[in-house]
Amino acid sequence: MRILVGLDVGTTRCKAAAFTPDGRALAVGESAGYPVHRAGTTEAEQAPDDLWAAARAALADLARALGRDAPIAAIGVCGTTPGHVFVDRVGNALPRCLIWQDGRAEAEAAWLDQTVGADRLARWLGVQLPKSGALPPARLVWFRRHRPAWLDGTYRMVQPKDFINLRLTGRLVTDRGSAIGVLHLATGALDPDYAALLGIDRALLPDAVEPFATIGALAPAVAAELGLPAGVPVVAGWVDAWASMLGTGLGEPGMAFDITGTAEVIGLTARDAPAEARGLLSVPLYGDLGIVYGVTNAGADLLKWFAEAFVPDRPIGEAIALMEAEAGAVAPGADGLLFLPYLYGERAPVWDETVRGAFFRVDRGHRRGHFARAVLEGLAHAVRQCLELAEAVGGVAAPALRVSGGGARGALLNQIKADVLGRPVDVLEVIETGALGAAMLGAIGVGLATGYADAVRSMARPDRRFAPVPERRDVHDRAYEHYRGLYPRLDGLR
Amino acid sequence: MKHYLGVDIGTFETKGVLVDETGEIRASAVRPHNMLVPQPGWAEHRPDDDWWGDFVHVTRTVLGDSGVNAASIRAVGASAIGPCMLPLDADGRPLMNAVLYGVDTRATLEIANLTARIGAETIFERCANALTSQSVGPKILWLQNQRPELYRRAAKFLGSTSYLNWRLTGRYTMDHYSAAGSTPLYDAAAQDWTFDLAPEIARPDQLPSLLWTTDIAGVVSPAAAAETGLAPGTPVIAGTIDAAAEALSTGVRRHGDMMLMYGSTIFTIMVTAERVRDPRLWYAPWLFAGEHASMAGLATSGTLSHWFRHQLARELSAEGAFAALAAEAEASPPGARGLVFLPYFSGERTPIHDPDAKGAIFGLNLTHTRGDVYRALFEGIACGTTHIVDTYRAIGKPPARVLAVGGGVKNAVWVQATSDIAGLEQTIRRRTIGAAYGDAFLAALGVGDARREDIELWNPVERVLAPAGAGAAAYRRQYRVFRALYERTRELMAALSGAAPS
Repeated sequence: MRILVGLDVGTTRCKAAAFTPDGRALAVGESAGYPVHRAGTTEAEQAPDDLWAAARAALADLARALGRDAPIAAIGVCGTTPGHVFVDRVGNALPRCLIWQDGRAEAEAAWLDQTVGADRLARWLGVQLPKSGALPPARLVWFRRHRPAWLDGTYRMVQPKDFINLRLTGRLVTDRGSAIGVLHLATGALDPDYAALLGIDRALLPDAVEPFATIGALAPAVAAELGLPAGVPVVAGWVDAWASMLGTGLGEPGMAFDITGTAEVIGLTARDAPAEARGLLSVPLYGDLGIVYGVTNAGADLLKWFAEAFVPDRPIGEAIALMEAEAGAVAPGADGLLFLPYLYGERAPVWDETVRGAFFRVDRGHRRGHFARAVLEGLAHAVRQCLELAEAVGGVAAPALRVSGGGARGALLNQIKADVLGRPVDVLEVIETGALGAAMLGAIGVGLATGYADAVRSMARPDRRFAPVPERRDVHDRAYEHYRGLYPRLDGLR
Repeated sequence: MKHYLGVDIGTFETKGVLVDETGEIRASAVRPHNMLVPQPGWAEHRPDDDWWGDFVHVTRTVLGDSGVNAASIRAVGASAIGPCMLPLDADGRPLMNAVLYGVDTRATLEIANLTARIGAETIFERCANALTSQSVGPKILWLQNQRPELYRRAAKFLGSTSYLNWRLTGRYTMDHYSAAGSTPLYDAAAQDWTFDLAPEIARPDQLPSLLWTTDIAGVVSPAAAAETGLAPGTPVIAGTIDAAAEALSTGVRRHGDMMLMYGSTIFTIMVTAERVRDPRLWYAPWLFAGEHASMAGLATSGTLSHWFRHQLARELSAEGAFAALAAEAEASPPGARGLVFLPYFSGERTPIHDPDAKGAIFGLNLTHTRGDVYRALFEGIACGTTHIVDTYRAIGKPPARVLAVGGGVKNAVWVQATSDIAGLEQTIRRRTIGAAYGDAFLAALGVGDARREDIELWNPVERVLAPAGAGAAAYRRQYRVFRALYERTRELMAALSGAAPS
């Protein structure tokens, strides 16, 4: 038997998992959490060295579970993007990197929109990116304006998972998907006008290869420290959301997905990627399968925020369980209480870095459980809004929703999503679809799968279905209409 | 030494104080009672137990505890919650439990019918107030419609203070400030009962005679003396409603003085030389002939802190909860790190008068804590108070002096935020015992033993709270968003209030 290892470098921790070539999970490893350093209202940074320490901890944890001399065939890594790590010529990274939640480049996004325009940007990048202070075009302008030394040729700019790969193998490589917003998505080239605007050259980024391409082998010193065999092939890896989509088993058009955790990645598959994305991202996943999706800034972890904020007197695990129990005891619709889940600004579908979360329609009859339920229902409304937009963009209706990621463990949230979206919610057998997708890339890289479609077919399976309860449809539809009405009324209110 | 007895009936307790001629409190007593809620929307007191029974109890207690000779009591003053509706039979016996003030909403249908028939503009023009659940007139109509056999036997309609005075003196009287709550039975310009707006509600002989608050309503009867331990023949002033007596105790005396009461709700009374005519505000003649009062109030204020503690801070121990929350709120900076709190958990009264308004907690980010939200709650109430003060400023009648009183004055975050957001100096006096103290002072005024300015000696100023200046920019932004948030979402919230089960 050959074992495929996937490592997911997340926003809050690293998770590693080992799979058989038919997708059965053998063991998992997990690191402790690491901090996001937040400042002001839009800044979010992490320390690359924290990520590397956590990656080692998760892999060592997995290695212990697997036992000595486990027959590992390949390692694949996926991670959050866009998070810009600057690495010098000898492999040292600057102490902090801006992560995907960092929206500080809002002014630059507006400037780009005015001076360059969305159409020209789309031509340069091979993809229509939403106007956002958290995405590379604006963030690169911010680097140019505020951190010019980072772009002067001293450093190379990579994603967090590329930095982990560097530490694992000694090789600094990226993949074309992770370079979205910098290199042309289809050709991998840096547009000369774009380069001139930013004052950068192609050498800012290392080679961009296919995500399943083997980039090197596990270095002996690292292998010894982690308790893994030296020389295991490591593939380039991918954007965590895209790896998760593989792990969610996307194989044909009209499959909706929701990868839920720190954020929600919501969308669906379509035949080819439509050019017009209307604030979502439309990219090819593999073959002729396109994906149309949006990423929200906040996900199932919102309940953790709520528990931390309002039950600070209990251990967090206990507090979350308590909030789930209280939320579950409240009737669907939370007696009219509404929640806007924009706690860190919102990406899709409203793309507003400065909007914030809110509870609306509070009255004296609302108990804590109403608030907890409203948080989950607000999240489900955001998922519904994104998915309905994706259906319009993709020109395809999705009869069911596949959920995966850490947030898919919550039975209450899954049922709320089924009720709010009015369609069945299918939970994958493997919840850690990021690690599974990364392991699939390894399988393709070493020939244990013939390609994406083969890997998806043989390694991802739904496990459990949550059916919508028809009687709850009306109350949720009404709440959703009000939810949609709120944001436009709050636009610009600071 | 001369003494004065003041007794105030609250919603949940009765308070009595025995005060000497220098303003010193010689004894005080408190007796709790319950608000009866026979069905949702109804709120009642038992007049012979909760009102008269409490009066007798606290009077006997302060007499016993102080050792003061009842003969040295120069006058008695009472105040109470109101306006209330209490029908008496021909012998002056209550026909039913007393129907309480605005918390009792049983006459909703009568309010709508009367308003439609007479016209809101006419009612405002003649009575200076709209018909609301606070009004007594529709509650008498309710009695006619729903309890016709009781209405047929009703010889008099009294309120709370007036019932106490009836038991003490055997005379049916009511002060003008209380009577102004009898809409549409009180004519604000004529300062008299009126029967032409809705003649079917009551006959002239069913209403008590009108007096000013410090007029002598009568003297303690031998029977009342026997029950209470007071000396027969002791003068009893007409008294008034609790909030007005409280205003007196805080030193409201000059035109432009505004009491700002931090209680279960925020309530303000401003004394004016001319009648303030504004449908967003409430009106009553003031306690003394020739003066006027303009009132305003929020729907829920101090009660929100209890809601918060029970719902969002449930794990804190009962004894330490409010102290712990106060510490958390004080750790949050002015402006609560960007939060804006709409306190409309039960709709809102002045100045927006929107029963469909709803609460909101706006501007949340991942780093906000319970302490931030708790601070924002008080800042939200302070924004509501600022909205009232701004309403007065906008009509050219800004308060000249604000006198803060009530349990919430002890809440440093709440009171300071109010000064900071509203841009107000607040005068806080030494004694905070409240309306009963004001009743004793009014009694002293009534028998000519004190002058209005003597309140400065009875209850001296302890401190003046000025805007601190810290967080001024954050507060300006918060108040701006507070106002805009309501305006922008009003229509949506109103649509929701019909849609959701509660």
